[in-house]
Amino acid sequence: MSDFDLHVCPLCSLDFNGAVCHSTCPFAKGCRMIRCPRCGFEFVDEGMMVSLVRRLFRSSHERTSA
Amino acid sequence: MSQLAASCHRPATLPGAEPRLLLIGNPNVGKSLLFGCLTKRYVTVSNYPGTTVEITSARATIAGESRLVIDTPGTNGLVPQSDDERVARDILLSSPGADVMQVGDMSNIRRTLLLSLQIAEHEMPFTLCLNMSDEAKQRDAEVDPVALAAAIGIPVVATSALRRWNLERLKREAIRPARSRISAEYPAAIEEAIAEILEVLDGSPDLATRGIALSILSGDETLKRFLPEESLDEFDAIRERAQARVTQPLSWTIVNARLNAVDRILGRAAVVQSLPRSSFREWFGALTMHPVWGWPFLLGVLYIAWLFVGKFGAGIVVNFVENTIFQQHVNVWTIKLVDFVARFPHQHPAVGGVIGAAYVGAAHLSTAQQFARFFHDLLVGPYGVVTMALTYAIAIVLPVVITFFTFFGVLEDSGYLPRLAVMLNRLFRRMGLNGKAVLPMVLGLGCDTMATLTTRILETKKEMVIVTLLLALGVPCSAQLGVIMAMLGPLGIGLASVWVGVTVGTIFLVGWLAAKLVPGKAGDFILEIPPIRTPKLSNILIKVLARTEWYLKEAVPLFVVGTLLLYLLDFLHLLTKLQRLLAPIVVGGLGLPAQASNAFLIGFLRRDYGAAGLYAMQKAGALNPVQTVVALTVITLFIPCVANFLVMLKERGTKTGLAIAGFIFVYSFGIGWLMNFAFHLVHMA
Ligand SMILES: Nc1nc2c(ncn2[C@@H]2O[C@H](COP(=O)(O)OP(=O)(O)O)[C@@H](O)[C@H]2O)c(=O)[nH]1
Ligand SMILES: [Zn+2]
Ligand SMILES: [Zn+2]
Repeated sequence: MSDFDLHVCPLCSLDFNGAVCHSTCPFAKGCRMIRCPRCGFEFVDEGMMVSLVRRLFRSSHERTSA
Repeated sequence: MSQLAASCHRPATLPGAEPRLLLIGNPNVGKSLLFGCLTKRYVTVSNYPGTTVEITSARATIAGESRLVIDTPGTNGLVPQSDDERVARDILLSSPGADVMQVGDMSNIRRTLLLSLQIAEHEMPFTLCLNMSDEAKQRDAEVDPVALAAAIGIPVVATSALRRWNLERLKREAIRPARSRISAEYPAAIEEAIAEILEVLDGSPDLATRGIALSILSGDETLKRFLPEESLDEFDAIRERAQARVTQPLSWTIVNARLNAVDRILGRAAVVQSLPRSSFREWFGALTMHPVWGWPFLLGVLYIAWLFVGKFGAGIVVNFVENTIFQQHVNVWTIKLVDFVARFPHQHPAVGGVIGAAYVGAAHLSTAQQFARFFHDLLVGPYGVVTMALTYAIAIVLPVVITFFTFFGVLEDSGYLPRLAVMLNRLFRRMGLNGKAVLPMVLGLGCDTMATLTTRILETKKEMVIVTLLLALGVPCSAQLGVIMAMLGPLGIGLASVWVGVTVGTIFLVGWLAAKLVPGKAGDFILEIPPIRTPKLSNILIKVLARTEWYLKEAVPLFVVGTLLLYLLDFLHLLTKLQRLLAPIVVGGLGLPAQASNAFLIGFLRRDYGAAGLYAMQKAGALNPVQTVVALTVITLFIPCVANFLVMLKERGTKTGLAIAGFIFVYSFGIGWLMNFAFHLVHMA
């Protein structure tokens, strides 16, 4: 992910990047949970499916607007 | 510009062509720390040419753009009083076109704005970072960055370099500096002198700013090498004429005017801050966190959740996906396919015209046939990967969690969550609990609860143990809560409330004990409350999609593992033995059918999987409503998943971890036993 991978915490409205779940959880290797560095709220990072959908929408949008 | 570049020495180690980001600010505002946060690597420390002043710089990517970030020495103004201050000013003047970021201490806003005003007078676009906002909050010296930005016309970002707060927004704004419209009102004598100086400087547009003119009038000797030599005498003459017209020294008069201007700005910012609140949205937002009316509102929200997830998701959607898609199509076709590949004499009796995983077959099989049966059962037997694991994961749990995630997405996107946090924190506080420790967990229903959290907020070992216990006992992860809600759906409000009561009661009980054992420090929970807004469908869909993907990756593999485990136990004829072993607890204590111990076994792997097992039993009519509530409560209080258990052992040490697990085991089954007992008493009465 880029330097500019921005998240906004739904609980305390902080925006930040990084802060991926670096846990000792044995199943957390591919864990997409993000935790807010200020309040500790956990939420899910946008994964493959979302970026796929985004791309789909973008390309169809470009096609229609072109 | 050529003049300026020629007369000024650029720091030798700082390549000239690269776009710069200058950090400038008063001493001790956390500028160096902020510099570290922005850059991290490739830091160069060098002496500014001709001085012993050290300059730190580093290449970094700021909001996707490459910058040479330079940390200038702390300075109180642009008329230098020391070597440090001169270097800071020199770097500023010799970096035209650079992105300038002023770093200030939020608690010391006057001093900060005094410098801002001077940067503005030099007509440099800049951004303002109000650092140490954490301290300002503690000291009740908070400044509203939005109001201040409106008042001075440049981006203002509140940060804490120490806590790593809001650094991303800072980066975004850092490369979008703006010219500030703030200015000070100087006496006519000074204004006229400024105009005269600007006329002389007409030939070098980079120097022709109010800031430079004011520095000249302030008698700044260090500025001379930037100025055209032939004009120096003329500047002296202008200054002497202006001084003759004011009573105080010019430099003092200038500083005084600047201070007045700063106070005017602060007054304006304060006015912007207290805008009248009148709109419906504000009224509604306030209602949702009202100390009294917030609670009925919360009950309403819970009721809607129950209707939506329990009734709609679990009832209508699951029925369709499980009964129609899976039982009648997916499973049938997979069974037929497997039967075709792995041949051994057996028959699946059709129930209601549809065949299922159960079958009757010959007792004696050849080795090859036994092998075929092993493969067959592995996929489509009673504990088959398709007929159990995937059916549970995809047909039962998935529709439930999708509806649950949808509901949760609405809560997140509407801005209700922070309000809920405020409400709950009020309650926690009254009980002397530290809302900060558990609230984000309770609200986020995050996975992997204890490991990361406890190390960050809690200090003592005792606190850690208690929070670990609390989270493992009372806080289900989001997928688990979804399934639990689904099972509560058919029960009716009364029995569903029993579950809510016992779970919430447990959190409060343990929390209250915790407060007794670990006194003091009921942590405050500082939130910016965003306005209530109408949730956007696209936002919610994105959130649901992301969470669903996460769920599929996270849960389904464990479902398969759990099924394989059950299958192996069954294959080795250990399952019935285990059930018999657990019978005194499960059948005798909890009053559940023996089969329910399967659910507890796989529930140890993942609570939602166990819940799905109970759900399947409930749907098959093997559990009556009272049994359902008992089983559900036990599995809710049970350890969330085996991962959680392992983390507990690792983070808290084997002994403490085992003790916590032991307590949870005894507590959850004990509560189940009590509930069963109570229900029987009520029934007999
Ligand atoms: N509370 C708090 N302290 C901070 C923050 N940023 C920096 N500090 C502390 O303030 C002190 C001065 O910081 P430093 O970066 O050296 O300031 P500089 O002189 O402006 O470069 C250090 O002890 C920092 O740890 C902040 O955002 N909040
Ligand atoms: Zn947060
Ligand atoms: Zn078969």
